[in-house]
Amino acid sequence: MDWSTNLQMVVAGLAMGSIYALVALGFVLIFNAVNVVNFAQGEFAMVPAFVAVWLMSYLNLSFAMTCVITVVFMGIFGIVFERIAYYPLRNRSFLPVIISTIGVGIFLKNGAQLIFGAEPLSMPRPTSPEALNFFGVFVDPQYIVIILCTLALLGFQYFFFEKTMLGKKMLATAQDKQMARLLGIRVATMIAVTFVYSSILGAAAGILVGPIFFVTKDMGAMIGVKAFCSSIVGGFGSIPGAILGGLFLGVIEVFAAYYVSSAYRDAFAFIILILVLLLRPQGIFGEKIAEKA
Amino acid sequence: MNTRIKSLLVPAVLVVVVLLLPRFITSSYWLNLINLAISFSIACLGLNIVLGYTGQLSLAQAAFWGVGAYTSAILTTQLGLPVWAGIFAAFFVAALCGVLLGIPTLKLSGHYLAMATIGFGIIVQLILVNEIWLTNGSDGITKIPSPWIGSFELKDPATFFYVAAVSLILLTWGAIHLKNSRVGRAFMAIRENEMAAGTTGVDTTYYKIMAFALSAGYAGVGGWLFAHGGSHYISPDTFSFDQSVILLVMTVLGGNGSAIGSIVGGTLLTLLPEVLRFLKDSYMMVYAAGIVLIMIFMPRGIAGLVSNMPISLRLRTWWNADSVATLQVAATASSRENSGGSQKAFTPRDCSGSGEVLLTVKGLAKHFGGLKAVDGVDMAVRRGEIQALIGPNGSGKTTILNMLSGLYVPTAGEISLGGAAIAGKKPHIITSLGMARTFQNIRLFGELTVLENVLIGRHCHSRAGLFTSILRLPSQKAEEAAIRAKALEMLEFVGLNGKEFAQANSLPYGQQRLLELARALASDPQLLLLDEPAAGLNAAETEALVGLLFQICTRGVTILLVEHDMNLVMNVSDHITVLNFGKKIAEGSAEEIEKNQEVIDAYLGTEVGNA
Repeated sequence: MDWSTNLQMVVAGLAMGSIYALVALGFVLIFNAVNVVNFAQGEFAMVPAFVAVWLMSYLNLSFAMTCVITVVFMGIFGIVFERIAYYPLRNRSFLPVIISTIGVGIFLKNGAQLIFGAEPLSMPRPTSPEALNFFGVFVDPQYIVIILCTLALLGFQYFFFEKTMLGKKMLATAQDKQMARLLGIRVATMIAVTFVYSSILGAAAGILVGPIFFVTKDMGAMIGVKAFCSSIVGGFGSIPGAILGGLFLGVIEVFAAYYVSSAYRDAFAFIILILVLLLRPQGIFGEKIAEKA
Repeated sequence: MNTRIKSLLVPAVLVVVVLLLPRFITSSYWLNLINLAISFSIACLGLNIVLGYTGQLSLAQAAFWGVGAYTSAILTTQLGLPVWAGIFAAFFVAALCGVLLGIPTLKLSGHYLAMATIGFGIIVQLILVNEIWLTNGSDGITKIPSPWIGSFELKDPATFFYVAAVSLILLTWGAIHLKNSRVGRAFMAIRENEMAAGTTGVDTTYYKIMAFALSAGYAGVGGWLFAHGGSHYISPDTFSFDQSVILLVMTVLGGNGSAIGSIVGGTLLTLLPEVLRFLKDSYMMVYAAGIVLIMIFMPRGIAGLVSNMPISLRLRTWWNADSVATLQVAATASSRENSGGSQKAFTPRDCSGSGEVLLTVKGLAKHFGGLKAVDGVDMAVRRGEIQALIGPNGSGKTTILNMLSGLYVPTAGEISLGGAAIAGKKPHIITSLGMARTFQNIRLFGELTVLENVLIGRHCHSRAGLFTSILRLPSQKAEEAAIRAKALEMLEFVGLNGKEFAQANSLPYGQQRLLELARALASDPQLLLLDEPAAGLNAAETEALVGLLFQICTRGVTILLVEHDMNLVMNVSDHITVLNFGKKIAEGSAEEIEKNQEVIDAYLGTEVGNA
């Protein structure tokens, strides 16, 4: 094994890991806000990928225009999703909400197939298909774009939660809804905003990952479950945990596929998940929280 | 109509239906579809055990179904195993997979489990596709043999229907028996309140894994039917995540927790696609929209709708009439036995104990990060006494109770109950060693009846296992009767007789406290921990509680009490321990404590900086 192949795999792993991290963040933000895992989170990346392909290939819009429209679309999508899958069930236990998000997920997948057909679509690349050569290490420029865009988004998010009032209100809502309400925060609005933000993260993931994979109705499912694994591996409920867990899984997956077995590539995330659950259930970066008696 | 005729009614109807159905439905297309519906229904019955009874969401049921199908298909086609033996192989291999998946994941709840089961399903499918030497890969396994009886092959759909129908009936019968048994109640206790299930004596991990394994085993049998009937062909793409979701929807639509509901859901959603054929590509979308609508508008599924209709209420009353009467006779009998003994004969001094130490606590500490909630507490509780643990808010009282009952693992220190070291042991072990507790914020099994709540309290004094429960053997019946008698006695003791069949949630607050007490007492504890038993009670109820505490004590049960109502504490306690900031600051009799300056300071906060 030579170091340049390994470095190439690290970059590829970090790029895929960034996608997992973005979707995992969406999981965690929604979970923190409403204590429910959104099983349609992967579809939050599948839907924008289709929308972007459609805008670019059929309407011939520029890449920048496509991004803007897709983000706006996904913002609206987030609100609609919250109103249908979560809001009517907000006072019930987590099980009906999970099932309802699974239902919406299946609806979206089959809706995408109905509208766009079963054939895989390819998204026009905003970057050159030529690999860049860094001192003998060949890297797909799209990987660099994915990693840089993710870093930029994370920077924005840090600023948003630390420095803006809206971000603070969202954090307060996630910590203690009742207290937040007493302080005059509109909790229902904050929850809706969380869904919007989470689905915009999905938009970023979908647009970034589109060019390196084919866009299919099933692309979201695998990204979704792996992103969830990432958030557990990192420590469920923790924002840094979701990011680091995503990057970690992305890299491990590429290496395991290369050195162990490429047929079982999709299984490694779960094997790591089960190992983490066995050895360190609170996740690598998480803290153990006990239910109060 | 007497009980004997009633008990024969259902089997008689079933035999007639099973025998006649192939006479009326002659199309082999429809018979195959019905056989498929039965295969799905059995997988749903299994899912109902883990989801409906035990409250754990599994999204791998199709994978277990596939494990069963593949196990039997491989063994019969490659190794020539008899097809009938394949049923058992399918059941046990699937159940084993359930155990292997359950061990790491069931320690965690809800979301983690659901996602881990998705992962398991994906891994199973990858194995089915990639391990070609074993599974023949994506091509699948063809020419799977049919079962034989003697020299008669059960090949055509009408004869295979009998195999399917008998399996379904037996497995449904098992699932229904299970629900009203010690094991089934343990499952439901976990669903209703896992923490309380543990402190009531249920080994929650063990029972969750058991439910998971049983559920997988059911799916395995369903898979056996699928492999050996119908097209005699299986391939990996049948056992997908989508199929798991469909099984979930069938179960939930039918009515989560109801065995009959699972069958209704399974059958309905297998036949529905035939009716919805005209929708073609949008079929799955309609299906998915249906899931969301069911969740919003029919939370308890079809079974929930049907069981609330007036006709079914009347039918149920008629059906249960005899058993209710029997119970009431038992209840009055037990109350008569009781009333002679303890009730009137108490005086407070009856409680003063033998002086023998029952519970010893040495250097007990619990730190949460930097917070020292309990910091090196020593205390002793003497047998037969009522001891109180008091202190200002946040002084560590409940934390101590949680360590005593096994909910928290102490950071340091020793706890010994009647000579046995119990620090860090699991709650159910501590309960079986003779300690029971109630909670500050009541933790009942809310959806279960009052009687069932107390029956679960007897869990650690009964032994019926999975198979005795499913088969309802005579030993199980005898044990069940004994548990009932004891439970009714306990309900009588706290004054909840007449409420046996009310739902625990529906009781007024004060009675819920009494029910929790009855449940704790049902485990025959040596030591009873009460966490603020008077919180939220009015003056009359508190007075009744005082009487009850003395009576419990007279029965030989030692009490350790955390309470803020000082009148109550001073009135009942033989001995009081006072905590402040996680440390013991005083102990002694009520008179001594009342005069202790440090205690007064702690409560009134005269020291600067202590507030």
